[in-house]
Amino acid sequence: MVQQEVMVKNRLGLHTRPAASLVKLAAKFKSEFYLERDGYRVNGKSIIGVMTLAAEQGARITLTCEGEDEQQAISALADFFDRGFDEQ
Amino acid sequence: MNSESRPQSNAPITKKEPPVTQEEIVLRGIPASPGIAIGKVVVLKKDGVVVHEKSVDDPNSELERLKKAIERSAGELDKVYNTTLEKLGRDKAMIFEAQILMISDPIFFDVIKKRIIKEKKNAEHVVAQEFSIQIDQLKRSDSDVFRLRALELEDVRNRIIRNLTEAKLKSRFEGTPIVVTRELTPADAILLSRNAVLGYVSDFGGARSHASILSRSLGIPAVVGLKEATKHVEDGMDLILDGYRGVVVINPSESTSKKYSKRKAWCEELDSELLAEASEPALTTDGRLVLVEANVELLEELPSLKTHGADGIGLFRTEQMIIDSDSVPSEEEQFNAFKQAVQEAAPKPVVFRTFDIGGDKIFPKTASSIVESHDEPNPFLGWRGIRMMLDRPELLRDQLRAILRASAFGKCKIMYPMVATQEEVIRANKILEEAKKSLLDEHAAFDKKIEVGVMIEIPSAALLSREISEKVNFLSIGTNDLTQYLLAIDRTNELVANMFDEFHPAVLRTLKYIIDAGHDAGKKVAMCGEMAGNPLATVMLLGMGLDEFSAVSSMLPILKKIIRKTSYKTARRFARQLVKMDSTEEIKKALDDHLKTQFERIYYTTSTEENID
Repeated sequence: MVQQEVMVKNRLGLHTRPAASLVKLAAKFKSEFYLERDGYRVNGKSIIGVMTLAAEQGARITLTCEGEDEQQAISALADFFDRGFDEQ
Repeated sequence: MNSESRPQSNAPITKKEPPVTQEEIVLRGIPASPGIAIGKVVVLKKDGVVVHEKSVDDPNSELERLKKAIERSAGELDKVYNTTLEKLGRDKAMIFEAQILMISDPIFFDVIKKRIIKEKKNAEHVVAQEFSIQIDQLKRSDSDVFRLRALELEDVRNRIIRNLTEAKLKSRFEGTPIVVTRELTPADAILLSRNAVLGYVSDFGGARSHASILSRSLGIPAVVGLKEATKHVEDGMDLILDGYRGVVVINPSESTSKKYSKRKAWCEELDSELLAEASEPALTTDGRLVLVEANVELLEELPSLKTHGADGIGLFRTEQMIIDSDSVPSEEEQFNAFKQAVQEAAPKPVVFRTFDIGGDKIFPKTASSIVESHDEPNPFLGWRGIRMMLDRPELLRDQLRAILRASAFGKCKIMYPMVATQEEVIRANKILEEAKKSLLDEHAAFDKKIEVGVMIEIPSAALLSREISEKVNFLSIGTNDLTQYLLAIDRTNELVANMFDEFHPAVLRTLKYIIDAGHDAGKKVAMCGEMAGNPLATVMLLGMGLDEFSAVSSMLPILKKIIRKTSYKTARRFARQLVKMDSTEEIKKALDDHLKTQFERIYYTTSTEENID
């Protein structure tokens, strides 16, 4: 199991489109993927789950990956947060 | 928009079966889309779905039911998306994007499936519970965007539960029913129009709600705001819907049915006659030409302009773009929309009214995305229209640039709302000059002589019509606000709303004053308020000298017909008499008598009078 803390950087937060892209990206890996914010934890492969985080700009989230490709998964997913979900 | 009534909650509720009688019931609501429909009821249940917790012996059959319900729901959403894409374009279709993503979330539905197997409970119960957990979570967010997601998630839940409990819904639509529902959503209006529905009846909603506007552009008769129509009906009942007068008759007696069949044939005959001559100019018998234009707020209304013979767009309400997207559209987005309107109307002109937000024109939630959230004790006397825009000059400048750029593709005019002083016009025009200069610097094409006008809807502006006219090219009277401010009546306050009357003698005299003042300054005077579309007022306004009428497009053929059958000379005499009258009663009786004797068929089509024989 690997963990990493990330921050939501884009202006609109983790809204519909970035959530969809994040779920899509997570689906490429075999590892389980969870997001946790202020003690509330959701399955990162569920778009409804990711939306319910209601993560606005500046929100701090802990990513957890567990599985055979957990290293690749967490670096790809953390990188996506770092890039502000490729939004302005 | 706040004056519309809306359901308080979408949560599934346990509802008692109401007592339904076989007696004839007449209900009155808001006429939202013209036409008469006579047919059988289908009740579209969405939020009143009853969910009971039940234990099941065979969870696998529950899983099968759930699978089918999800498939059907996803199919419905796909249809809504594609129909919207096809009819209204990509921007509108994106409204449904989040719901489509939600319904295709396998992880979330896996949780539901596992619980059904483990707990041996019915699918409805588990679906309702699991969705509620997520919905409550989202509702706790401080952000409007995420709270909106909660509403969408509720919609998805209601759709799945409806498909679980009412698997027969689709087959019931095989006939041509009249759909009765608590609140018609834009998605419903579009999706149901693909089935051959005869009409829409709803408990909530207003004439200017999205679904009503869509009904009008789809040509489906509708009556909304009936408050409790759904309580009186069940599937298969006979129902008559009169979308001209806002009347619904449930269980009509034989004589009522006969009366309405006759009325329907007669209205349809008048309609086709009116439409056939709609493109003729509005020229009085003695040669005075006036313009009859359309009020537009959505791009999807544009196709109805030609069929209704609009002489242009007399009022394009730009704030609808903010309400739709819950954000201020960029200059580019505005330009694209404006360009489309201008090209559709060409060679006829389009009057773009700059953002008119505040008052009852916008939900506070939306306003807060534009400016810091603020509560005003008297929003109608507060920060709205040009006042807000002058405090946010960058918004006004972007919008004026978008209108100017659209003017390269056809005739555009600019109009400022809620002006109270000449000073405001001067300041707005200064920003217009800056916008023009920035476009010149960029070598962008635009109409350098673009006309500018002002809405006259505040008493101070009415009294200063002459002075304001000197700074602009035209005036346009907004009768709803003018009446409200003249009479000091808040129309949304039920305690005094019945005292609101646009035919008050003070209103008539003010109208005459504005028109004369505009003409003295050599400027044209238009009207884009509700009165402009009321056939009772047409001859009077013509006689007062009004140059342009702008109203909802379905009324234009009627207005044109009245004008073509009237002589300006007679109209002027009639207007002079009316302006001298001292009581609202006397004025209304005179208007009523005139329409009844001179335009009998129009009178009986649009009048709210009981007797329709």
